[in-house]
Amino acid sequence: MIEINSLHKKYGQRTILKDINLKIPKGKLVSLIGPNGAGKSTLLSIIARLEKIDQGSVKLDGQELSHYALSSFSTKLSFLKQQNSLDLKLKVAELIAFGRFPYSKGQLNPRDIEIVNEAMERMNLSHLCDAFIDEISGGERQRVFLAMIIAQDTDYILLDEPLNNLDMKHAVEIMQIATRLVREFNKTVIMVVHDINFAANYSDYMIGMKAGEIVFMDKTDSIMGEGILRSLFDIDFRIIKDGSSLLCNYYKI
Amino acid sequence: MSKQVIPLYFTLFLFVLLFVFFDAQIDNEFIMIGRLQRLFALVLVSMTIAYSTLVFQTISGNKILSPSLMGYEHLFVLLQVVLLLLFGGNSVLLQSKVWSFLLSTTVMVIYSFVLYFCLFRKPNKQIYYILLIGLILGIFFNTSTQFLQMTIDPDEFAYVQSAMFSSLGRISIHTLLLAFLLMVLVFLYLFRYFKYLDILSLGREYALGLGVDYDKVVQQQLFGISILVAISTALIGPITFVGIFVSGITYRISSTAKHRSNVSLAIAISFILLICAQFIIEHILNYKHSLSVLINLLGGSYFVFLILKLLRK
Repeated sequence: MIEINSLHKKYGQRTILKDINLKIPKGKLVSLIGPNGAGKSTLLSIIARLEKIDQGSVKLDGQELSHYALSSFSTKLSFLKQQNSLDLKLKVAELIAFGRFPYSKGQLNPRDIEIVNEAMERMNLSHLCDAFIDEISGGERQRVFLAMIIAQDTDYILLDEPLNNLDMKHAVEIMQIATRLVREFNKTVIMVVHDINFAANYSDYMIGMKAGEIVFMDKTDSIMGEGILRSLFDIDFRIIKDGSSLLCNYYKI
Repeated sequence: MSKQVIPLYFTLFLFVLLFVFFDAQIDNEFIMIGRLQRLFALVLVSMTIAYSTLVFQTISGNKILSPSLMGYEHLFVLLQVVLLLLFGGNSVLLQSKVWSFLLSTTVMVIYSFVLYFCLFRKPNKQIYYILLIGLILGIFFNTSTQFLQMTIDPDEFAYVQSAMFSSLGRISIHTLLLAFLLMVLVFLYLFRYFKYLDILSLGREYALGLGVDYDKVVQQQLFGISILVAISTALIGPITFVGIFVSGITYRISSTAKHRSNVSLAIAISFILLICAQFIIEHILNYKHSLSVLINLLGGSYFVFLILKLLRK
């Protein structure tokens, strides 16, 4: 469980996060939604220890973030950045193998190699394993980075807009993989998603953020209301339910 | 090791043989020892150039930068001018190769320590910030040198001029041994962190995410690099700019991003460049040109060739 208590964050004079209080349960798929500049990415960065906490506390499984040693933290929580481009002659398999660094410290053992291959298969990348990462498409590269995170095999996985640059098929695939990580491997996945429909159809919990504050946090079913979404995004929504799935129409109302 | 590397090492071996034995009188001890000394100096300098440039580029995430931009070399020349003005051309500090080597190394290392300590006290300062400060200080040193040069006796000016260009005439057995010892210490210190270098190239976020203390490792590498650059500059003069050509050729030939193989490849390439240039100087140009001028000429023409090739595609 991740517990955030009265967290504040400022960049210079600008307040980015204001009095954040959250309890994120373990073993769930959690989506962070909200307009641009709401502070979603900053919140993720703070949980990943990439940004310092100005005020307040963040606890991971009952222990203060800053009390974790860097090497043990990296086996507990992983983070996928928003922009992933590297000007390096790295092969796909080599990049994914970096995910094992917290365990192997650079010396891969047979178990590590097995995990890397599994991650590669799960992301449908086996055929690309010897390709260079600067020669594959943006969507493929996104999947390679996700495979690296999967190889890192942490309880908590933070994804900052993992659906960026992906076509519909691959976006669906990523969401299915995230769901499987949660259901089958009992991981906790927290992701920033801009596509409200992906968030609504796949996540267990949703956190809405606006202007540095938490607007709501609850189970997805109890949140999907036209009023709530309108207050978060300042546009009109019409929710269309269809058996097992739902569609938030905001394209043309 | 990829297949392209084997002919490279073969060439290297050929050049070494050529350098040592071309037109040599084997029984003339003076000449042979001199050649071996110069060979050894070139090995040391190639190692410093290759390691410092490649790792510096990894840290800065930029493949056209070189640690020579940090102003060490301008500081070196300025130091020579100041020493000349203060103590005169006959001072032991200028005449003795060992003292001059030790003093130059110390001053350059202190300079980089001051630079880094001031900047690293404030967290989140980017490498580019340090680079910019180094660049500006370098320009400052350079203009100070030019200013002071005006006041120098024309006879003594020749000494300063020789300091501006790298040359193997500056080495002696003692400075070589000192340089070798210092380098061994630096590499022993850096060796423990070698496994983190590949992770550094993923950038700060991923390095931290993979459990590598990015800021600490970067600091240690920068310290190591600054000492390496100081050693090679004090040994044979301003030369590390050559690293840009070396790394350019390395990344072109290499088919991996692994530092282990790229650094050794870069050492081989810089060694070939250096030994070629030195051979030409000794046997064709009759010691009329300095090492760095010739290498910049060679490296520069290679770059023009590269650009032309790219344009034709």
